[in-house]
Amino acid sequence: MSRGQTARLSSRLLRHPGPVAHERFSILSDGASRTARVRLEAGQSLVDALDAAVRRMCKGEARAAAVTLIGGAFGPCVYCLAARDASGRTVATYTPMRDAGAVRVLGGSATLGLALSGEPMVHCHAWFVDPERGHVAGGHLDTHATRIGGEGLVVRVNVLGRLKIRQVEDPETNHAIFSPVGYVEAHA
Amino acid sequence: MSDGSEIETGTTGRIVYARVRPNEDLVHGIEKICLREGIGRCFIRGSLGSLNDACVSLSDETVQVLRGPAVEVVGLSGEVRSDADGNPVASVTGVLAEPSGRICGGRFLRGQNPVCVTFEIVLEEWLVSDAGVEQGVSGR
Repeated sequence: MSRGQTARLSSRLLRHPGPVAHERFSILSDGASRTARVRLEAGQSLVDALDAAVRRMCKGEARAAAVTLIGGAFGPCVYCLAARDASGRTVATYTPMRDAGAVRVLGGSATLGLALSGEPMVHCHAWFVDPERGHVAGGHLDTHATRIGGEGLVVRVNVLGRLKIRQVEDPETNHAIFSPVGYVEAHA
Repeated sequence: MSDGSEIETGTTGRIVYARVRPNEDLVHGIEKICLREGIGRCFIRGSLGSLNDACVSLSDETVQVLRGPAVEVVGLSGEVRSDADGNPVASVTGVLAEPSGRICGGRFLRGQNPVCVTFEIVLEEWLVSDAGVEQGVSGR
């Protein structure tokens, strides 16, 4: 391996536009959580399907959950990739959304929490294959536009106990980011 | 005669959710979360985020650097075990999407995978039962 190649084998630290937050980790934990294997029905948006499934697991209450995609289909799958931000407002922004059509899901993860608006929100990264051409792709999903495909989607759901996960404005990166913000009050 | 495989039985304990901020290393970050929470063993659950650049090993000899920003982590799996001195050691592999859309994967190298915008880490504590580890026996 040449010196030039060695020099490139190094990842960069990047300066974001805002003040660097003092605390680098926000961590919350809870006792054993409810876990389920869920088969999501075709036709629903990913965010609606996951919010409804977690409510059914939690007696109608909205709760935060960590989700592992096991297998199944999206149709359509609408996603984007990261891109440099020419405006300089952020270090990384997103490409325009692209519609991959009907795809078979190969894997991925998602978090269910609350958006700035208070509505349910799902942050999901996944990888998948186009069944017509065999092309593998992946990225950040538009979880409102992406719908569960014809064969359904099997996921493993870990309800995050009583943890509240909410999108918060982050002055450091100029993005709105999921953060653990506290605990849901226990019901008698 | 042992077939070499081993079965470790146990139960799941706490669930941990962490937001990791920019420029913290993914692998060290997972280990720091375990130190802070007093977790000796865990499995990585639904976790996702982005990296400035990514650096993964494909084999003992081959290392690949992916240039961002940002490289999206679209699949992540792994676990944390404790070494003989009780220090957490994370083994983390993943599937990555470059800004170009190219997909690749590998094992994340410690100290070479700085978080870009955010990384959400979910850990499920693994509590090994008293029975411990059972060695496989061939022919049964």
